[in-house]
Amino acid sequence: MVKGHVTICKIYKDGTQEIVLDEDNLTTNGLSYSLAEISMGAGSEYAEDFPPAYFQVGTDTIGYNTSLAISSHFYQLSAPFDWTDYGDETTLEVVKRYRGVLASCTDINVSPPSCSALLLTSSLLSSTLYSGVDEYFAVIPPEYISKIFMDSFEVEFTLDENSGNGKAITEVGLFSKNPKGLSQDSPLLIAYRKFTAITKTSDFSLVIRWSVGFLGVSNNVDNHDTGGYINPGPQIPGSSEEIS
Amino acid sequence: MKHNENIDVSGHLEIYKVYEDGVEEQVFADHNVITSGMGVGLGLLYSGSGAADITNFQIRYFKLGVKGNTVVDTYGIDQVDLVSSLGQVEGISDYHTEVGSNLPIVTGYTMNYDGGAKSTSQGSYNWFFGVIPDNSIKRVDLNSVTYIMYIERGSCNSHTLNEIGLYMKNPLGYATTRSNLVAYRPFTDIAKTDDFALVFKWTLNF
Repeated sequence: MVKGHVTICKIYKDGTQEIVLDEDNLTTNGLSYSLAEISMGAGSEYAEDFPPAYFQVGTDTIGYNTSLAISSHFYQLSAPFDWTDYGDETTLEVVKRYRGVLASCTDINVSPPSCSALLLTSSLLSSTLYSGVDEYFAVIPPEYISKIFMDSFEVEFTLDENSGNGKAITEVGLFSKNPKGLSQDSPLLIAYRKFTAITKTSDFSLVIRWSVGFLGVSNNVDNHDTGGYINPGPQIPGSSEEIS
Repeated sequence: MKHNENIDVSGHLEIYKVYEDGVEEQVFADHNVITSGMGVGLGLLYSGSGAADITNFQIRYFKLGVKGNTVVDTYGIDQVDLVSSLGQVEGISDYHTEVGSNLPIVTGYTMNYDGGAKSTSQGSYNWFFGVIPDNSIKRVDLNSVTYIMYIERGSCNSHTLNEIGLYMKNPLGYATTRSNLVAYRPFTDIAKTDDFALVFKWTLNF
């Protein structure tokens, strides 16, 4: 029901465009977990902590089995770029952040508690905790997030001509900003896509366009184009409602 | 069950009659429909174009209605409201039918499919919503939450109830709450009397 779709396009210096991927993605358990956290009043109290704010690309793939219920239970890329992998001349803002991960604890009575990150497995609620690990992320500016339909969001980012050159890129992940509401951003993976290797060169930029939401399941909402911004529809006569 | 590449948001509704002597009787148990309003809330939150306060994205309201029997074979994800909610004609007395009824009720707007406010059968924009208190929301699993709505013996009497909906509080963040339907279920007729309370136990799996 909540689907994602990702398009990856090569754009060459002469303006030529080549779509190299145009398929559904995997919406990961980080999104489900965040929705449950919101429902419980857990996690961040600020809505601005939930939109996608970071992405990673990597050079390996997560080997999930789509026939299994726990296929989406992972919170990482298989081999994400390190800082140097983005390249010295990149125009991307690359930052170190504490990537969020759900972990299962086997013994909390030792210090530090004995826990392991959940990877393609689930865990009882009572033995699950939120942990993290430092990694490098590319920043997605807020203005790169748009809203065309009522029940989905879109985000677009670019690996420019100076970024990631020489790397065979096989995976990309989209991360929510800080859904747990920690004092510093702790990105959580919400969507993932693996694909046939694209060897990045300075001949082209890679533009990655992502849509996530109730894609194509509603006749009324999906047919209401918000024009890229939220359109609250006809206002109440005499009302001067504003977003608070 | 979660499956492969999509998040299959789903739900299950149970309804119990609870008599004064403590006897409980389950009168309904079935899956529900998650409506497109859930996607509207998700889209607003993750595009950063809705309310600033995360509590506005919580499911905190519900409505009861009396014409769910007309859509048993046709309802689906496009449902944006109940067919006929309580309170449109008689106001809050539809819910508080007996003196001393304490069912928490608030008024607010109902969001239509395009984000606008939906009018009542009387042309008003004010709707009555039952409130789901904090202590009636339980985390039952990593990705599952149960909402419990208690309709006391003195509430909603003389109505034949047959539909219920859950609403997100106010994802647009307007000064007057504009709530969107996120889950809906018609059910078999229950002629409410003061002989019993009703407990709706609704579990959503994200």
